[in-house]
Amino acid sequence: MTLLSLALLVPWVAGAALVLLDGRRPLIGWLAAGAVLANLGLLVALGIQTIGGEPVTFVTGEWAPGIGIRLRADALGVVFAVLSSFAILAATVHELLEGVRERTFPGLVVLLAAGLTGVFLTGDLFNFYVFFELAMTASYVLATYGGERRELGGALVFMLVNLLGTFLFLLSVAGVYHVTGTLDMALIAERMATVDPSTAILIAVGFFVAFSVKLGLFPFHFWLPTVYTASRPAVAAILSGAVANIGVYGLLRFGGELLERELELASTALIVIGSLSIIYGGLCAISRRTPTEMLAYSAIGQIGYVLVAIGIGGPVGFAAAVLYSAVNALNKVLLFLVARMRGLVVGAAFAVGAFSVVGLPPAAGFVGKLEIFRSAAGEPALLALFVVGSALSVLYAFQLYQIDFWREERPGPIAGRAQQALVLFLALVVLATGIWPEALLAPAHKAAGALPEGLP
Amino acid sequence: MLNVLLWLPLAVALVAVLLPRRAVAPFSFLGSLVTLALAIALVVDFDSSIPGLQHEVSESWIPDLGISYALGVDGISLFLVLLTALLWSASFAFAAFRQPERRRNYFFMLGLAETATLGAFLAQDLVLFVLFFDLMLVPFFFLIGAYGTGNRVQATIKMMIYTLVGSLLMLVGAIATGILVADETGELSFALADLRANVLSEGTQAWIFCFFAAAFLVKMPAVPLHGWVPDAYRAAPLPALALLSGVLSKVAAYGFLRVVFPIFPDAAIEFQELVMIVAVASILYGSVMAFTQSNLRMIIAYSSIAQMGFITLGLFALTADGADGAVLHMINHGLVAWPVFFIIALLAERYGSEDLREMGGGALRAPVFATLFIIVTLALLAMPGSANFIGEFYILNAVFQTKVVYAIVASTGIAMAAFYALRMYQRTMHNRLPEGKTSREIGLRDGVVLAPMVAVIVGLALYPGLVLERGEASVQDKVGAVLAAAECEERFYAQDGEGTQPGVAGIELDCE
Repeated sequence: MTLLSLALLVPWVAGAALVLLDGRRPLIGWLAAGAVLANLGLLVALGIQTIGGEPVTFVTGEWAPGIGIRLRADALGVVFAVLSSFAILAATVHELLEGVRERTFPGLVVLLAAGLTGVFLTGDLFNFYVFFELAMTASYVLATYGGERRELGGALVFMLVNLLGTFLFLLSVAGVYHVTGTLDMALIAERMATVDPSTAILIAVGFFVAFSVKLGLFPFHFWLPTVYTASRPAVAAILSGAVANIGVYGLLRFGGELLERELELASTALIVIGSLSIIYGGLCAISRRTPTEMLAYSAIGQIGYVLVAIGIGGPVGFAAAVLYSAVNALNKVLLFLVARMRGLVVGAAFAVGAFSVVGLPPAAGFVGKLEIFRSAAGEPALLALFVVGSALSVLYAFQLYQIDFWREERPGPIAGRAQQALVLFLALVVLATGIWPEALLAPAHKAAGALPEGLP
Repeated sequence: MLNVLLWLPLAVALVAVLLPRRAVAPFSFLGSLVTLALAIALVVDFDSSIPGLQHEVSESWIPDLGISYALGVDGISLFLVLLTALLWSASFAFAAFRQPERRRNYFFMLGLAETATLGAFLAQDLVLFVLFFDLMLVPFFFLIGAYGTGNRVQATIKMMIYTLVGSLLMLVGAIATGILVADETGELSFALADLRANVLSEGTQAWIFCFFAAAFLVKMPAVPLHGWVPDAYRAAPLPALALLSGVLSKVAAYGFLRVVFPIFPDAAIEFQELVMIVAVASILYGSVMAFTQSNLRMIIAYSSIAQMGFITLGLFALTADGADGAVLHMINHGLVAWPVFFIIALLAERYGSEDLREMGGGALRAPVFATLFIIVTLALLAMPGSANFIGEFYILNAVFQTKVVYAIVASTGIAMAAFYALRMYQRTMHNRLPEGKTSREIGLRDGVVLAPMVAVIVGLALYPGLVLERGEASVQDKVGAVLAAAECEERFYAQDGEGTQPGVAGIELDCE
């Protein structure tokens, strides 16, 4: 209980304080990194507690349920919280080493960490919305980070589209409240089964669109390449490695727990949309010539696998979805951070990331691919799709590496040792989780087990 | 012991990265010699009467997915492991004397490749095998892409697409096998022994077989899946190319014996004709192409396609003799391919080109070099007296007994091999010296690398039983699985009872 409250409180308080200070001063920056690190540490401790044992649930301030904020840390939430916090920490440290350009940056990343932690650890639908907005507001501002015309243009698109998404989300929340009379997720899950199916479907579609927009699934992807290519590497890493997790988590939590019946109904649709994303993302990625563009489209394609896995459902499908999105987040953080760097280990780190996207051993991507293939084992059509998708990823990942490292030197100064050490560390994490996949598999299976359908 | 053997090359490579530039090459070479010594110790220690695995290692690795870290060596992999260690030592020496640029990375990649290849030969778990099979690609991607010549970027991407799509299919096949078997047994396991104990239904075997065959035939390479070969061979640096041709292609042939025959025996019978047609096509196409080429590398590239065709033919004769011959021929071809590529490097240094038309008279002042070269050439064309002859003899003998037509067509491949091998030797070593070129004897350093390799060829020619004896029991065991399936099928059609009966070649039958 203390861990859970602290995990939320620390970044919240720290973020609110830091955002007022001048973040361009190194001390403030490192304080922010320290706050995210503390958040990560608390979440890991919480993770050990929940993954090994029981979920932690309590109502803040000992208010009656329904009035006080209900917090709930189960394996699914904690896994995504840890993952997001890690991504934010890595990107923040990277930017600190590069030199922070705007005073609000450190405070905002801490607030973002607070918002995301809240999203993943709340047991109440309305608070989910509040934290969701908090995280999104922080990301809107972060997307402008850099302050050039390019970044501002991207940020505008990002904000408009995602505001629309959150608006739809809020509508659906209102709908849920209207038909079930509660905002407590556990109660909603119980009462939703008795709700009129057509109403439930309408609500479910609203949630689905909101999360799909966040994820950049085809056909809601149109904003994603513009934003990812326009933002600074650290911000792109945060958006793809941390903020996108809301989408996967939301689909899993809402589909797997609150709207089980509707998920089952929509499974074919999810698989079709996921498949389109895989093919579309892969094809577009091949035709791009700059690393960030290619990575942006690759993100669309890779998320498609997660959606297909959710569509397949059951313990294997959900676990594959969690695992694959974790692996994908790690890959993308690594790749976006090295995308514009130069230096001795940059090539090696980039290669590890690219191989991981392809699913070559011993990178973590191999385990991700293994799980994904396993989830589709009984479906020849899906297997064929995955093979085609993977073949596309082979094409663009290697093309990307070659264009970037074998044709000509990248422009710009050589990155400092500390930055290089950071990306090397991330690359080693990707390798280590490939060599010792239990570290990802066990939490992923536990996380899937947190959903009623995902129990083995 | 297998653990040390497997990981030592990678460990050496990791240490070498941290050493000062000068020490990298000697250290890597010495490390590879230790690996070689371990491989020799493994052969000495081998008990040839046991058909099963020896020196087994089995640890649970990813229990959630039923994947184990299982290693083992039997009569089939024993000499392939030794071949790997030997050729890698030779390539380390080859590269060490020529000191490539960015050598830390270069030697690291070589070391990683050795571990990956040894892993593929030692793995006794299907997913582990796929993992090492894929891992082999990574270092070669860098070796060719970063150190290659000519159109290296396109060559690597072509190679990666061909082989990775193949191995993706294989991964799908592997997972499907594990899961379908688990449906029957209730426990997910990818250990080869467990998969073998629960053979799948024929229809399922058929499609999974196709996936595995695609991966292996691309890697081998076999016609018509050889599209990546010409570009990759042209671009690759020679020390790496010698390994690609000498060892990596064998992993594919080995995969048929290790994975396909025991686990998909019915499919092996079903697709026997098709694969044999592919094999014969490879022999004919490879041989014909080999004597139309003027670039030395390309001659050997196409000759490799033909030789791998012979090996596939031997395997799919589906008799113990054929497979025995195939195993021996895998070793032979590896032993011959490496020195040929080394000789190409020496010739290219002398003539400044790898084109036959710009060479000639090389033997004039280089009797030792010429002698070593002619021994390799004669082995390449499978001259009676060489181990290659014995390998091809076993193979053709087996094919004559099962499918006469293929044997007759394949025999023409031997005649063509004689033609392109001798043409290569004559055009380079005989004839007149081109203007401005001189004939030069092989240097001491290069001699020290080449002579032992030639000695091994001669040694194996004198005593091929070394390989055949040790391989026999294991080969019987693998091919036996297919023979048993064939026997069962026949009885099924003859309505001739079921259950456990002693079958052909003393193999226990367990027909369902």
